[in-house]
This record gives sequence, C-alpha cells and structure tokens, in this order.
Amino acid sequence: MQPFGTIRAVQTAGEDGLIFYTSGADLATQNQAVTALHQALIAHRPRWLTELVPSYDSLMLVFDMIEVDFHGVYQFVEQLPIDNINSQTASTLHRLPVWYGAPEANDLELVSTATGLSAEEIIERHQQSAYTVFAVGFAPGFAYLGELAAELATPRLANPRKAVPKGAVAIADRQTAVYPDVSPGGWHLLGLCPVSLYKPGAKEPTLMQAGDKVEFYAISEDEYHALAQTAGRPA
Amino acid sequence: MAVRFTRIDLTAYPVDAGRQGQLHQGFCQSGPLDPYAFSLANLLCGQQGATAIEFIGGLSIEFTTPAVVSVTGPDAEIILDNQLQQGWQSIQVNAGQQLIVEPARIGSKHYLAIQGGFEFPRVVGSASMVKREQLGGLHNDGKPLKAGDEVAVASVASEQKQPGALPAQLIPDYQPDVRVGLVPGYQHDWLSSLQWQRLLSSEYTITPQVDRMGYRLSGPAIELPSQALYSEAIALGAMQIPPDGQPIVMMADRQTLGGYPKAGTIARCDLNHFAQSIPGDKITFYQLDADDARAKWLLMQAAIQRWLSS
Repeated sequence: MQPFGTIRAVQTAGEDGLIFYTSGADLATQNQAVTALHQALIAHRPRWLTELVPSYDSLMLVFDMIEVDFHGVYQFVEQLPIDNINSQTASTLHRLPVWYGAPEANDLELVSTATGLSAEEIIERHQQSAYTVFAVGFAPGFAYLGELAAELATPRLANPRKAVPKGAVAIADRQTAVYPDVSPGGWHLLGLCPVSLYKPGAKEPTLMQAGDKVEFYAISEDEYHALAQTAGRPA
Repeated sequence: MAVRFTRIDLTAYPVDAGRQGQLHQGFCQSGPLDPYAFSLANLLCGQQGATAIEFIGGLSIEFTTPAVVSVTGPDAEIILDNQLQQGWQSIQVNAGQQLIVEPARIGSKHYLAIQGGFEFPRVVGSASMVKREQLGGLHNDGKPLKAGDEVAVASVASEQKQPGALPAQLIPDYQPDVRVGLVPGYQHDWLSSLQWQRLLSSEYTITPQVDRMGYRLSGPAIELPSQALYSEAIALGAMQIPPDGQPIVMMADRQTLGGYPKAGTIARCDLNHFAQSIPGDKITFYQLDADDARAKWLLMQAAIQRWLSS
C-alpha cells in the first residue's frame, strides 16, 4: 500500500485491520498528524469502522469484514478530507494539581541523582511544559504525555514497583503520566494527583483522550487532601 | 430464574462479545478466547452474543427452573442427570436437574450458554470479566465464579426458538497439534526472508505461560534488526517478537498498546484452533494473506447463515 499525504506507511493489522503510520520532522508533528487523521475519521465515521486506536505515530482501524475489505478501507482513508487542525485550539486542556513529594510517591531524590537537578528544579520544570496526550493505553485511562523537558529524562527503575499508588505522577524517558489506578509500574514518581482519571461505571469512563493537552500545577498537602475528598476518594 | 454452580474444578467466568469501541481509552477488548465456540453456543440457544460462561476444567450446575442450554468447545463428557448429552447441540433441561461437564483435556476452553443469557454486571458496555482490570464478574471485581454462586438468567424473548441440529461440518475438529494461518502485517518487513521461512517451517511449542492476555511460544528464535518502535495498537491474534525471538500471540485480554515488533496476526478462521491449544501442544504456521484470510472467514459465516436459515 502506497504512502500518501502525511501517511508514511500502511500495513495490515489482521485481515480486519489496517495501521497507518504518520510522517513528520519530530514526534510531536507525527502525533499531530495522527490526531488530524483520527478526528477526520470521527467526523466522517463510516458504518464499517469498529475500532479506532491512535498512538504515538500510528492509528489502527478495525473494520467489519462483512461490509468492507482492507482495499476499500485504504481507499476510503486516502480520499478522506483531512483538515490540518491547529492542535492549540482544537484540543481539550486539562490542568492537573499535583502534591509534589507526597511520601507515598516520592522518587525526587533518585531523579535528582539521575538528572543533577535539585528537587525544586525538577518540580519547577515538570510544571513548565504543556504536554500532549500521545496515546491512551497500558491500562484504562493511562495517558502517555509528552514530551518531557530533555533535562528531566530518566531511565525506568531497575526494579519496577509491584503497586504504584492511584494518582501517582510519574516520569520515564521524555514522558510523564498519572497512574489512573493502583498498578505495577517502573516509572519514577514525583507526587500525587487527586483528580480521578478513571471512573469505570461512568458514561465517559476516562478523562483524557489522545490529542488532549495537559498542564500540571503544584498544590500543598492540605489542598491535596481537600481535593481528594471532593473527588470522593480516601484521603 | 437462576442457576447454581455447585462445583468448579478450575475456573469459570462470564464472557460476551467483549468491549466494542473502547480500545482507545485503554480498556482491553476481552471477550471469548474461542470466539467461534462462544458464538455457536449462543446460536444453539437461539440468540446472538448473550453472556455465557467460559470455563476450564469440570463443572456442575443445578437448575431450579426449566432452561435451554448448550455446551461447546473441544471434547467433553456432558451429563444431565445420568443421561449422556451431546456438545454443540441445544439441551432441554427440566427444573431440578443437574448438568455436569467433564472436559477431556485440562486447559481447553468450554462455553456454557443459556437461553436468555446469564446476568452479570456490565462495564463499558460488556459483561466480560477482566482479571487484570479487576472489572466484571458477579461482584464486578474481576474475580471468577466460586462453587455455590448463583447466577441470574435473563428472561427469554417471546419468539426465541433454537435452530435445528448443527451440521457436523460446523463442529470444529480440535486437534492437539495445529497448523494456523498467519497474516503478514505490522513489522513483517523487518523479518528477512530467511527469518520468515524459519517461522513458517519450524514447530513451536505452547509454553506454560498462557493466559487470557497472551500465549508464549517456544521454538527457533526469530531474529529482528533492533529498530526503535513507538508503542502502537495491538490487534487480536497479533504475534509479537520480543528481543529473545520467542513469539507471543496476543489474545482477548491483551493490553491495547505495545512496543514489541509484530510479524503478523493469527487468521480469524484458525484463531479458535490456536486458542484451544494448551502447554506442550505443537503449532506450525502457514502464510495466509489478508484477502484469503477474509475469504475463509466469510465462507465460515456463510455456512453458519445457511444452517440458521435451513
């Protein structure tokens, strides 16, 4: 299948799936092209489309094999009008409070050793960027946010934790994330966020969608407990 | 109406067709490991996609009211109050009767469907239980059924009639060692023709590391160039090649995204045979291009439709 527009490659993902890989000078540009294609497909959603899974530089389409084959899907996407969306205006912004250095989620010393920055500098830098949700996966509501400032880039923990607390704000390589629920994890932890990212019973069970923007801001321990209580979770 | 699970030897839990349109939020697809056996179990009860029980190992169930049920999957002894019953057919049960299922092989997956469907909590539109997400199941905590549990059955739609006997050619001939179609895709281009031929000409063994997320195989290692790959969506049946070269086939409860290169996916027409393999079974692969894999799948669907309309 030939590349076209911002699509650098297309591959089958099973007989009922196609995966489109985007081109761009850097990951942010590639991911913007994913978001543009994703939104175009939502706006012109064909009947045969059953799943649409965006990630960093790719978008997988799953289709109903009774209705169409992969040739038809490829043709449809190739002819799809894709607006060059301005991600600044088109996406939702989430501002997430963080109690940096919360005792249950505090690897600031390890990050300090790895980066040569003080705890204050790490906390400051983490709040300075507006991040893009590059992908949602790994677990329900887990959003991969990028890109983290290069000077904060840290490798994963040598021994992953068996249980990272719910709401832990974490970094790894040039990514950051908030753990929606208790889960194993190998990222370094900076603090706790009291906002619930994942409500399994709700109509919209996850807060963040691929393409959304996220900013973090520091709160005190008291503010954390107050917010955690209003979010209906044990403080 | 409710049924009581009086004995569960290994495990039993609810499955339906799985989550639809939820992968982008990080919810795994879930649903039956053997979608064909699940789907036929329901069709034999005169319905589509209703919540059924997927189970491994023996099972005893008590009925307090009359019911129509079916049991599908590989070879199993099915006994209704001392009367031997056939799998892959609908079974009429009277109030007070007990149904016992004893699978021939430990590890094979079996399906118990009931007319009306079992009632379980639903999360993101599905009643399938996902242990990893701690969702679904009787108490919506991702835990399987326990002996003694009672499960409610939904009332039956008025003109819900089970179809005629299932023709023999629609009953899968499950064998311990299977040859399954592999649809090239994803990073297939990363494999040299030598590595692709190695994958197609070698025998792989199912390791003990099998669960609803994926099946690990062992055999000749597949070597890939080490290239950067961002995490991307994982299709049902995708074959991942991790750095040790031993393939992992991703199943119903797989994570939605992953960063290992993938050589292709198991063809849907053979997925049920692959899913029924257990540790120690031997698997070989043949290349099946996407068009041919779809054609084979459509033929299966057409044969099912012919039976239903006969």
